Amino acid sequence: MTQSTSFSDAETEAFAKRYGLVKLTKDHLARMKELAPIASDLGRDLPHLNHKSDAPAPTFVVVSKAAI
Amino acid sequence: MSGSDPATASAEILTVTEASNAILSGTLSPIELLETYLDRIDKIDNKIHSFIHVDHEGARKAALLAANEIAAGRWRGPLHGLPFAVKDNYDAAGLPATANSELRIDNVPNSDAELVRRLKQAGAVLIGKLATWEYGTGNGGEYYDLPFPTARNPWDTERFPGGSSTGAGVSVAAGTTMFALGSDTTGSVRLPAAGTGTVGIIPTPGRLSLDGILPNCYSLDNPGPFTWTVEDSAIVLEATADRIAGDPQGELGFRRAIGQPVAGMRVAVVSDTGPGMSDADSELANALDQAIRVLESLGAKTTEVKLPIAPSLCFHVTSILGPAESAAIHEMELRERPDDMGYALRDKLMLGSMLRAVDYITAQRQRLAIANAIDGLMRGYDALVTFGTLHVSPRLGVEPEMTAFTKDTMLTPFNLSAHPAMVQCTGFSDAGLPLNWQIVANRGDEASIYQLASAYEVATPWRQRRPEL
Repeated sequence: MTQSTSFSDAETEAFAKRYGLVKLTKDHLARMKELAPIASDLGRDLPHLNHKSDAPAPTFVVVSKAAI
Repeated sequence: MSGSDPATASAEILTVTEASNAILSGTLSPIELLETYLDRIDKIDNKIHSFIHVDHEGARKAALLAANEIAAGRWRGPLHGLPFAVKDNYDAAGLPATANSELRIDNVPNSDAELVRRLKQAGAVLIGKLATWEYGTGNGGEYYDLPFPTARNPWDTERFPGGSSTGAGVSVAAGTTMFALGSDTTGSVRLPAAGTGTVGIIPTPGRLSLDGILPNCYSLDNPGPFTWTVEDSAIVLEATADRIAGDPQGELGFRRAIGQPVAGMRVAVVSDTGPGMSDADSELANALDQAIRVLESLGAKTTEVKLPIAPSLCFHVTSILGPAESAAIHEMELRERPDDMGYALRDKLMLGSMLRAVDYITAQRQRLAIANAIDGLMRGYDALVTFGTLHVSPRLGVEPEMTAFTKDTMLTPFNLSAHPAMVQCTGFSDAGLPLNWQIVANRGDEASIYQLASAYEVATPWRQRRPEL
């Protein structure tokens, strides 16, 4: 697995603020900083499908409760 | 069958079938049976921590009602009067449903999860709520920052039973309940079944209702029962399951499959764990080999195959789907009360918050490709057998054993492919720890799993052995 460049402290704090995670403590943010490259590596290292027509699994089927 | 003589056996080691027959014949009352379990909980649960909450009063009322109904000739079926318990992420009216989290410590739902409702309707007696990782979340570690202690493996209380349905596996193996319900997202029924030597099955998704179970990952969550025997599993599943598209007319046929001959059944065997995944422990590898020989001796036609996708890729896919969906489900807790959750849950929610939508969609695209590939393989067979876990139950708190037990498995491919899958005991290690294999069938064909697993169970002595506490 490749290793992404980590967020800086400031980038981690800015990310958390941007998404409403304002109650994370300094310890939480330090851990979030460690997790950031894991998150990006998980995405980047996931093999991509060959064809654009390879659709996602139909795991969410839209049926209104009224129709059931 | 356990082979116990109901006339002389201690009630807590009777199987569902044995106890039900004893109740019907009048040699055992639901009240006596319940008190045996409550006594056993009092005596041993401080060693294994299988329960988070025991409902003495509610269970006694339910047992009395069952006894009166049966005495009056109103027998509801094979679960009538039998004690069960559920993982603490299930709702049960009037009982705490904490999911082992400070965040839900005061949560007392006023209605039953659908599966609890169905079991009560069948006359079963709810004893209480079972231990779990917080919100069903963990990466294999032992967590000291949760409201309730870690459940311990009854085969060796210094070892971990497997998560996240820790208490469900422990309670059935140790005899603090007769059967239990857990939930599985990427192995949380089959891991503790493997660790505790119990029978754990996830059916085809859609068979068991998720209503009233705290969600963990919408696209992967699947409930499942824990029992001591295969027949018991079929009874519990039949009492709780829905019919799904493609089912033949008539009864579901899980119980009918018990004891049917397996001669001529086509069984794919996967002993290669694939690139990027550990090899199985030698004792587990030998046990798989011997279990296959047993099936062959019974006339099953086995063929060694490779999975068309690497289990390591499946683990990678679930490592995106799980955290992303959990973060979507529980984001408000992360925003409002991050300090009130344990390390493992907070870790998962923070990780999920940083995953891109693009990567989530790619993972769901991979999921369909994986399901198609496994379907293509399964089409030629009645069932597939492979490892459940690749390691035996780990020592509590010892890394990398703990994490490896949870991550090095052959479980996630079948969560992604949505095939029914059972983990069953295949013997014991030199250290006396349960070994296991996994039996997988085509969607909707749980009956083939029950057919193979029951034939194997009858042909082997593993159900005669119980943990000593």
